[in-house]
Amino acid sequence: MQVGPTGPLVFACCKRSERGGTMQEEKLQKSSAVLKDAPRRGLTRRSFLKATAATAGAAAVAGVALDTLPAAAEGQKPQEEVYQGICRGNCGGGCRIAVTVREGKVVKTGPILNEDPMENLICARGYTHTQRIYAPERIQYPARRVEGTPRGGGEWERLSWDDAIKYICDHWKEYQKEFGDSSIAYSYGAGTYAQNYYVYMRLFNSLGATKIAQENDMTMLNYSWKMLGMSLYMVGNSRKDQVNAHTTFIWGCNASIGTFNRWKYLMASRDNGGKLVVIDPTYTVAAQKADFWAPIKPGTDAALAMAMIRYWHENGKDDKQYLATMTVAPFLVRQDTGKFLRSDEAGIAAEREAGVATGGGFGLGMDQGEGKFPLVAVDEQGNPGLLKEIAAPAIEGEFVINGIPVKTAYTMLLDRCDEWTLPAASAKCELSEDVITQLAEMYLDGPTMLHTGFGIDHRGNGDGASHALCTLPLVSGQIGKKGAGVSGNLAGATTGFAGDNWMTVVTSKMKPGATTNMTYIPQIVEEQQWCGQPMHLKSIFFYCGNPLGSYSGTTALRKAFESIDLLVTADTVWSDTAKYSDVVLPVPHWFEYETYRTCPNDYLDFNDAAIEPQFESKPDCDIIRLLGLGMDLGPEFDYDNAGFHAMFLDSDVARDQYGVTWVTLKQQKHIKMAPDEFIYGNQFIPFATETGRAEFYFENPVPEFDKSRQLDQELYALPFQSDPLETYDTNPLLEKYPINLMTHRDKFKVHTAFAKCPWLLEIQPEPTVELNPIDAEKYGIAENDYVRCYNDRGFCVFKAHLDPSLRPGTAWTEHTWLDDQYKAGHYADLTSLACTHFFPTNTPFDTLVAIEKYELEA
Amino acid sequence: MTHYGMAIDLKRCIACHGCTLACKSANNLPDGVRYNNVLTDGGQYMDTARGTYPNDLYRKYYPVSCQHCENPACVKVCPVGATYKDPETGVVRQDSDKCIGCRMCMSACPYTGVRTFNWEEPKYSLDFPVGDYDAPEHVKHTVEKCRFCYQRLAKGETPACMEVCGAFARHWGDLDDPDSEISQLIATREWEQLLPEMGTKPSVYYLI
Amino acid sequence: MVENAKRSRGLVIAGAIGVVLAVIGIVFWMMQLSGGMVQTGMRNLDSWGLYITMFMFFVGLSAGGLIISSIPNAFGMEGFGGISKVAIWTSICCTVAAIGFVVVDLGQPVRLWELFAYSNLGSPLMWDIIVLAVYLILSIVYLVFYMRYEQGKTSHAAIRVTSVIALVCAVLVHSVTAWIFGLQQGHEFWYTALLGPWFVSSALVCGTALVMALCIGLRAAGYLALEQAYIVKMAKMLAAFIAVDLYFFGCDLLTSAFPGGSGAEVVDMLVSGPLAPFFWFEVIGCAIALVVCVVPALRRNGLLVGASVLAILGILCKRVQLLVGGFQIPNIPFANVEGPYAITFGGNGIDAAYGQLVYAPAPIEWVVTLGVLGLAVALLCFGLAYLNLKPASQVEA
Ligand SMILES: Nc1nc2c(c(=O)[nH]1)N[C@H]1C(S)=C(S)[C@@H](COP(=O)(O)OP(=O)(O)OC[C@H]3O[C@@H](n4cnc5c(=O)[nH]c(N)nc54)[C@H](O)[C@@H]3O)O[C@H]1N2
Ligand SMILES: Nc1nc2c(c(=O)[nH]1)N[C@H]1C(S)=C(S)[C@@H](COP(=O)(O)OP(=O)(O)OC[C@H]3O[C@@H](n4cnc5c(=O)[nH]c(N)nc54)[C@H](O)[C@@H]3O)O[C@H]1N2
Ligand code: SF4
Ligand code: SF4
Ligand code: SF4
Ligand code: SF4
Ligand code: SF4
Ligand SMILES: [Mo]
Repeated sequence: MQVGPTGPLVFACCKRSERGGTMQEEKLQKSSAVLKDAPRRGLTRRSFLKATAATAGAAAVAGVALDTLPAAAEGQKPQEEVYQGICRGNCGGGCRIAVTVREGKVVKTGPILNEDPMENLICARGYTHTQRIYAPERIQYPARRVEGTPRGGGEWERLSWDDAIKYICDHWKEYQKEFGDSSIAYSYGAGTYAQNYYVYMRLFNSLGATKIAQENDMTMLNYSWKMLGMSLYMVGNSRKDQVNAHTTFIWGCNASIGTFNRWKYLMASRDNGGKLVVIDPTYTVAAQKADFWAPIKPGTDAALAMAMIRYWHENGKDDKQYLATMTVAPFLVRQDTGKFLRSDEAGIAAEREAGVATGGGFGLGMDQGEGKFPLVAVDEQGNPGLLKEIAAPAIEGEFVINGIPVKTAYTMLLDRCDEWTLPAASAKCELSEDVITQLAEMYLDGPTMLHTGFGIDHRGNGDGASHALCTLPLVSGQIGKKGAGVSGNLAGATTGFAGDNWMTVVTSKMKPGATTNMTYIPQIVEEQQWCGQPMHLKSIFFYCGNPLGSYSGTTALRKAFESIDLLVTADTVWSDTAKYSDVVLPVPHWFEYETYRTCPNDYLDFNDAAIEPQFESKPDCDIIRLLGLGMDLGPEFDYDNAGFHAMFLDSDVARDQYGVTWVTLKQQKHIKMAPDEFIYGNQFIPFATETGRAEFYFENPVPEFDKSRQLDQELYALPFQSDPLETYDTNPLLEKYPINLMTHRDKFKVHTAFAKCPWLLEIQPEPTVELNPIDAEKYGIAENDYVRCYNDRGFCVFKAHLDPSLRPGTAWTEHTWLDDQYKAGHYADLTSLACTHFFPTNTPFDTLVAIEKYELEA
Repeated sequence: MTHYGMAIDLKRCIACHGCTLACKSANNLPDGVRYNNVLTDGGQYMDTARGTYPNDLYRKYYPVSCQHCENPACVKVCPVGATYKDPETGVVRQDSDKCIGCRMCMSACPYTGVRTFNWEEPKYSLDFPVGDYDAPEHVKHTVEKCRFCYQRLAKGETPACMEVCGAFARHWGDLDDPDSEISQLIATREWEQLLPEMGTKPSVYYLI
Repeated sequence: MVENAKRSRGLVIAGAIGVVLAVIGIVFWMMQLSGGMVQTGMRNLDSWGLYITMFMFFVGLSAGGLIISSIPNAFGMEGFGGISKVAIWTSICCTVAAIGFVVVDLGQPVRLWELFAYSNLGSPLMWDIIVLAVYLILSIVYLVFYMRYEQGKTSHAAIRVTSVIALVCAVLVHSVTAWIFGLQQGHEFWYTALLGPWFVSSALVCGTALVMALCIGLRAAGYLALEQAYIVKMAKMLAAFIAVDLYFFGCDLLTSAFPGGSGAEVVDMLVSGPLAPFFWFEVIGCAIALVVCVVPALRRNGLLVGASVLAILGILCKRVQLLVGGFQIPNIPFANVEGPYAITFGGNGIDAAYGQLVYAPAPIEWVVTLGVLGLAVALLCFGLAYLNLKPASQVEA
């Protein structure tokens, strides 16, 4: 290979489009002279931007996405309209897409270039919407499973919308009468970022229905929210701040895919001299690009993080100042109860205050009651006093105050970490002591960003590890300043609250309903109760999610669904869940109706209707209307799609602060809502927790859903390393099922969405499993063999590829294909519903299987 | 004179295949036809590595389409000039109306797989044309390849695959203009080219 | 005379069979054109197959045959003068077959005219088309001249001149065919200066073998009379040509293997890889033919015919090795997911695609090939039957 001149690594990504711009201008000038024989059939495209011509957003479309060319040969170019669509699967992109329509058909989807070129984004999938819009797997009309045929049998009877709605409502009313409001449940996944997703709340809140909450990633997300508070960019700075990071720890994140939309920022920080460190058992693409890769043993992240904390403290490298001022480090923990010491207990006179509780659930619900007595701390001389009155509280130490033995929360943390000496952590994580020391040192070479994903969360011991990870920035002080903090999947995306009128989900008929998550459905069905209240689930309404394809434990779920009479799915395509339902309702593709989204970007973006809803599909809002009226919920539901959206945007904040209404948004299309400069976790923007401090000590850990369960309060107060639920070394099951099967985000899908796109299938035609050659040899598997993975829960057939990137003993497959795309079985059937209960989530990585060669029947 | 070329930053490319799909879409490529492919230099299958876990692993990505060679092997051998170098832009073009389908160019081009033949009547999963309205025609039994989105260049637009790479790994511009971004990159970064020993003088630079 | 009639009836029947095959071939060719060449075994990464193999082979046969028959005329040697016309005719038929194979390989045969309208004179394929056309015309002229000479209508000098031109053209046509491959730097296996001479030597091997077998056959059938001495002479020539051809092969393998690297891959592929059967058939077959030709005791007619067949098949194997082998080693051996148009036997990954033989002909290619062969056979037989191709003396007898 030929090698060119060596030079400094310059990269001008920020200037990219400015340069592109000048080049284009130049070309424009040249084009008439230079490209004489070019098929110049074009003309100025401004003229056919008819749908969007008047608006600023369209100007952006016209000015950037669509170039102008010398007006020539007018007439040959067919009429084209370009609309702004928002691609809004749950990939974290939320890209603005130029949707080109010719002769009433969407013929092209491409990027809309932004004012800030770093925000330009589209991926392979974004180019394939034409194929998604006109996909044969679209649900075309409301349908009901033919009576007497089994669920998933594929026999459908076409219904009119009226009949379908009547059928659902008649049954719901019956169930309500006989089994109570909680017998109707609703479940939603990660289908869309747009507002049509939230509008369902209005309906189900008014019905007092049981909420089956989003359960994915929720261990780690909840931990981060509870510890750091949910703010504008979740628990972090603006994602643009990544460029200022000197060190980035990509931890448990398949960053080039899972956080594809941030990759260019990661690269930009590298261009600025920053370092990338990857902690992942798998040699991911991020690991390939990183400066340092620590191939950690799966399920041992807590030990590593705690060893780092211990190392910092031992070497005097912890950020005592930050701990003292911004975290609960100086809080005194009663050794008898595990609770924070308060003034009344310490014998210090003070008034009660509201909003100083920490405890169950995450911190949005402030203590609204009579309030609590203020917290007590100890000053440098060891004298107790009110925390707010002590300038420099002690963060370490053991004291007896008013006869009560206490330790600072930080000392409690250090005690907890004490077990994880370098040798202990090295043995646990299978990383050398030297590597652990290097990691600890690199983390301090800040500003440091903790770019986390859900590799940790998706294993059953993600709780203690999430806790440990979120503690790292606090002890190191690598947060609250430029280029430092938490990023990746936990932060950097806007929370999307800005300006929305959340009262919209409330009506005069509002009834409180129970909340659970999918993990508990089999238990509820079996016990016919939930948290001590009778619960007879009779119907589940699914929207924006495909639990039977994407979630864990589908074998158990399907079994539980057997005793639920009416499963309804509103979806665009025949997802696994739609196929298994009793009634399906067709929803349009994203670009077929108007809506908007406020997250994950810092813009409020309008989604045009590029074409009319196809077939008989109806936007979710229209479905809400029909169901609301069908359930006799009255005029509060008699709104069309635009009506619901206008209501959602009708808030003081939106109007007064941003000048935004549904009407202005439709005109402007693209409105900046969140600032670029946003540094979270300092005295200027304190943590949005109850205490305003980062809370690494939980005084009252209560299970999020199953309140009837007793948690080990002491254990859950602080980070801990425990075994995963299934994939631990001493599990006797390993003898039968020796391989840990994980998934990875698939660049050709967003969960199950895009799974059937023909263009993408060309590149990746079928489900694969990658495993280390050592394991392959052990189980007699060769490259390209079909293999059957199985365990007690189910089985699945994949094509096998040998990949030494996988740690021996682990294998991975794409998350996730639809059931008829597997040669046999379904991947999700292999996974379990097992979870821990503080903040339960699905734990698909915590799965053991056996792998054997499989002969395909001809 | 203009000499369009591209520079692909292999340090950044994460094999998202966005470029491949941008191309498929813009050029209304028939099913099974790709002008651009993202190749894995690693194991046997896409995205796999070679070596031994964990200390000796190797994987690298190469997005490969026609290299728009300055000395194109394909052009020399085409008996009817159906593939030809555009003197004004350096783009190696392809004329589907002229190609006799002898496939001389396919065996002459050293870059495995950048040329593709329409082995049958082009098939499309949708029953109407997508992409640029002036996307190239796809004719049965003729050879195709990346034309550097000539239809776009002609209008002063950017080639589709160059519009937005999620990793910002792709750069495109005039190699003859020393001030162009691409010329600057080539002047200051280390780079390699594919099969330089073939003497084809590719216009694609891989920044390493 | 009666016998003669019978004989020519045999030829006519054979010719008719040829016509039938040709017609079937044309039907299948039309199917190939309408249904698409996707029905063949060829794909993007092995974009030529049986047709181009046969093209190479028939150019060789034709050139070889003509060279053999014209050397004596050109250099005024007393030779197998008697068989000249048969040899020229055979060579014409082979040229037609060769052209036929190019045509059936084209995706757009109706655009053939463009070759003349937009000729890119820099393309080796263009050169080949030109020399093939010239060569075909010249061969026909040569044949006509020869006949006129026998009828005393032309001087011997004219024959000599035409034969020299035909000779040069024959060498040229084969070298140019070699250059179609040999000038392609993209294929390790093809890109060698030796390819031109080597093609000529291979042409001489199969040309000589063909003429020798034909002579023995036609003599046995009583079509012509030929002294055994001429046959022995031909056998000796054949031996020499085989020796040269194998020598070239040896040189080439050594040059490939010596530096190691991708050249060594070529050698591996031939000696022990997917092409090994073709390689060893050629080497062993040619070696046996050589032995038969040099050992006087073995120079019996039956064995000589056998040796000829071995030599011809050996060269055919050589053509297969060359063609398939050229595609067998990708220049950029990186993993890609190959679609239905990429490689004959598809497969995910490199080993799956290249571990086996990358190409094998599909049924339609066999049938079309048979069709082209049928055309050549028909031409040959009708020529033998209806043109005055027998040595002059015998015609008179
Ligand atoms: N094995 C394994 N399982 C996992 C994971 C893993 O890593 N491994 N990851 C988990 C994670 S993190 C997540 S977030 C989940 C995601 O799981 P899901 O949320 O179930 O994701 P999808 O499969 O994309 O299902 C979304 C469905 O919503 C539909 N949809 C899209 N937009 C709309 C809309 O506007 N209206 C309506 N009504 N429907 C719409 C889509 O067509 C699609 O069928 O998967 C989880 N499951
Ligand atoms: N294209 C595409 N992008 C997506 C999505 C998609 O479906 N498609 N989904 C989006 C969603 S909803 C989410 S939640 C994100 C998730 O994105 P990520 O957080 O990146 O999640 P995964 O892809 O599951 O990657 C998990 C990583 O964790 C590693 N891992 C596994 N076990 C362990 C362990 O015990 N310890 C450590 N340290 N690492 C471990 C795995 O090797 C893998 O590299 O991606 C988002 N982005
Ligand atoms: S799938 Fe995600 S990254 Fe790709 S275009 Fe859509 S929103 Fe953007
Ligand atoms: S779009 Fe960019 S990152 Fe993606 S494969 Fe192409 S060059 Fe690589
Ligand atoms: S890469 Fe191949 S097809 Fe493209 S110009 Fe070079 S030789 Fe021709
Ligand atoms: S296949 Fe077409 S482009 Fe290629 S050499 Fe033949 S005529 Fe030229
Ligand atoms: S330049 Fe255009 S034709 Fe060439 S690969 Fe890129 S998108 Fe395809
Ligand atoms: Mo997720």
